[in-house]
Amino acid sequence: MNDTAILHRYANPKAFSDLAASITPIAGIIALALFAIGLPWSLIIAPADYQQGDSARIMFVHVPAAWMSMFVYSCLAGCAIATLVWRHLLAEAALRAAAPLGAAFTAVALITGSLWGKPMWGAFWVWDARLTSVLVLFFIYLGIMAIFSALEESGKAGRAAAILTLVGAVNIPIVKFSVDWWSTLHQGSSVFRADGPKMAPEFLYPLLIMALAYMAVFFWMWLIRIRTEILVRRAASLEAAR
Amino acid sequence: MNQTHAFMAVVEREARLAWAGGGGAALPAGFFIGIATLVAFGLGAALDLAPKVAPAILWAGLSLSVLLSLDRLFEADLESGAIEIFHLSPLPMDLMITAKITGLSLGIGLPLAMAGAAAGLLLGTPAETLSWIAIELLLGAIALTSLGAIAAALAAGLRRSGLLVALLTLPLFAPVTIFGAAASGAAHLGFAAPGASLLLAITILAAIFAPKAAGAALRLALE
Amino acid sequence: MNDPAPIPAAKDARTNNALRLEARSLSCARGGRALITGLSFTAKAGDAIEIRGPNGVGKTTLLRALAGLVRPAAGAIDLRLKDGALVEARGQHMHFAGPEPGARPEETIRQSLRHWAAMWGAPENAAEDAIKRLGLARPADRAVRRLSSGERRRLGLARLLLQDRPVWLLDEPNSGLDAAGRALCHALITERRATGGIVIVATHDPANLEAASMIRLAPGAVA
Repeated sequence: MNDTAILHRYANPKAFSDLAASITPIAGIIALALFAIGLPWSLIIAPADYQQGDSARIMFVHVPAAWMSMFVYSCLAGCAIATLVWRHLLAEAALRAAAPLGAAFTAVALITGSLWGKPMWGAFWVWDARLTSVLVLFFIYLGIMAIFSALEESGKAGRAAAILTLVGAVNIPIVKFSVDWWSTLHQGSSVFRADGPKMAPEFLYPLLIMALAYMAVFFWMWLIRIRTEILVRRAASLEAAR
Repeated sequence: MNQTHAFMAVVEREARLAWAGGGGAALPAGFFIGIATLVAFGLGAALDLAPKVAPAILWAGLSLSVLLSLDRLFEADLESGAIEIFHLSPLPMDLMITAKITGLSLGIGLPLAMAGAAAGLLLGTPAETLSWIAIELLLGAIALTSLGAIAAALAAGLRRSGLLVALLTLPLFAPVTIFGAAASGAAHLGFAAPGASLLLAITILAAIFAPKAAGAALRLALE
Repeated sequence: MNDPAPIPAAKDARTNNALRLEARSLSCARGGRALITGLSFTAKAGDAIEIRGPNGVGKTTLLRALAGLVRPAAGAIDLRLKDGALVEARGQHMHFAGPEPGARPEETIRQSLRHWAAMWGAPENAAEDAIKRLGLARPADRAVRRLSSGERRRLGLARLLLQDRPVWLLDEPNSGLDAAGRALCHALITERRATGGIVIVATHDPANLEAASMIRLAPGAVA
């Protein structure tokens, strides 16, 4: 079976639902395992930062959340394109399901960042380019969620949300490169750099484990939410047909 | 070329209605000055702070004034069936929206820029920077109207859409306000002020691309 | 006693007129519910079609799909002009008149008609001629919000006269019109057909069009 055939087979909501049903528990178990490894490694085993001491350990919670806030948005953008180009209901369901998850990761990044900022910079919040653009990202997520809730009955919510998602996608490179383009209080990139990560391995490895754990949790929750969304729509159409 | 005529006709109508109809241009301009006055009252004894916060007040005021005027873009025309008739005209949807944005900017943008300069004076901004500030506010009004058109189009046709439009415009207006306030804060540097070139860039980009996004959203509203 | 000038026979208007509006296996949905399935018809120059059915059955949706305002769920719609050429953007060759006036509440009849005339590149006096023909000379400078429903309906019909377009899509054209208005509407429709146009009327009321074919819509099906 060639690639497009596979794509189309799992683009069918029922087929996807069944596939998701089998993958979801696996994702959940992987997430659990990764957290079981990552949390003790980052919070206890990894050495304390020589300048900030143990408070720097919040990095292991903050950084993966920030990465996820952007990764989820990329997933949203992909779903948005699929919604507008192919009008696919599964893409709409996936878009709707992922938006609150992205908002949650962004909120975690903002809050943990604030908690870290106080000991490190002396302030809970500064209006530098990185923080401001992430706050804007948070509002975009809220806007996407608001469109789904406001345009619910019209049946156009998915496509409207897709348009907003693509408009807001302009913000993502700004978030990523804000620390390079402007002089910010927020530190520059240490991992995703053109010439490779410049973080010491005893911090890098637990960070990557935590990042994978967050990713697994995201997929686990996303799959559950998409399946729920599919079921809700099926129930609604059965209701309407009665 | 008949598209040029059609474009100008839409601009003319939008500007005329913005200027004269439904409260006209006096309403947003008065609102803008009102905000500046309220802040001046609120500062009270700390009035010497006013020149420092003036750029922020001006740009927040501009954003709010534009936000209030956004529903003139599409709501009334959607309800009256005018958008559908526009659709049956030789002007493509994107250009029609560009024309509407142009018209609205002319109708309220100029008065808002003037009102902003006046408000700046009220708040103690140095008089020689006022002309730069007015230019920047005009650019800002164009950018904000263009970006706001996206939010207005997404929420078009919904009852009580005011809150949704406000929420959607928040992330869209943020960069304009940031760049604009930075530029106005250093208005004595004119075009070399930090943020000024970014303001110009975002205005141009918004003017070019926002109508396309708004057009897609408006087509959705027609269904 | 003079005989009124005979209306040119529809047959004359049809010679050398390859105007055709064709719908093939058209399916329309609204709000997720399928309203029309598998509708096919062809209209030629001089034809009239009445779309009949109770409220909410999909008459307006069908008209809007024909105009290109909404994409049909399935099927195709083709318009060929009188030279036989297939048009891409058929909306520009159609007039659509629904119950809405197509003008904002604060616009006057004259302003609205002049705007559409300017937008469509119609000749200078097209708006005035339309005002006279539809008997709107007295309320011409009144704002739409102060018009009676009959006057609003006439405004919509006046728009049809601003530019010569071969296809007219009329949604309940008689509603709100008095006897004189209905007669006028009938005369306009007859003229359009006589000069080789196609008129499609959606109504739940018999429109008494001569030799009109009928599309009856019933909930859940098409006959």
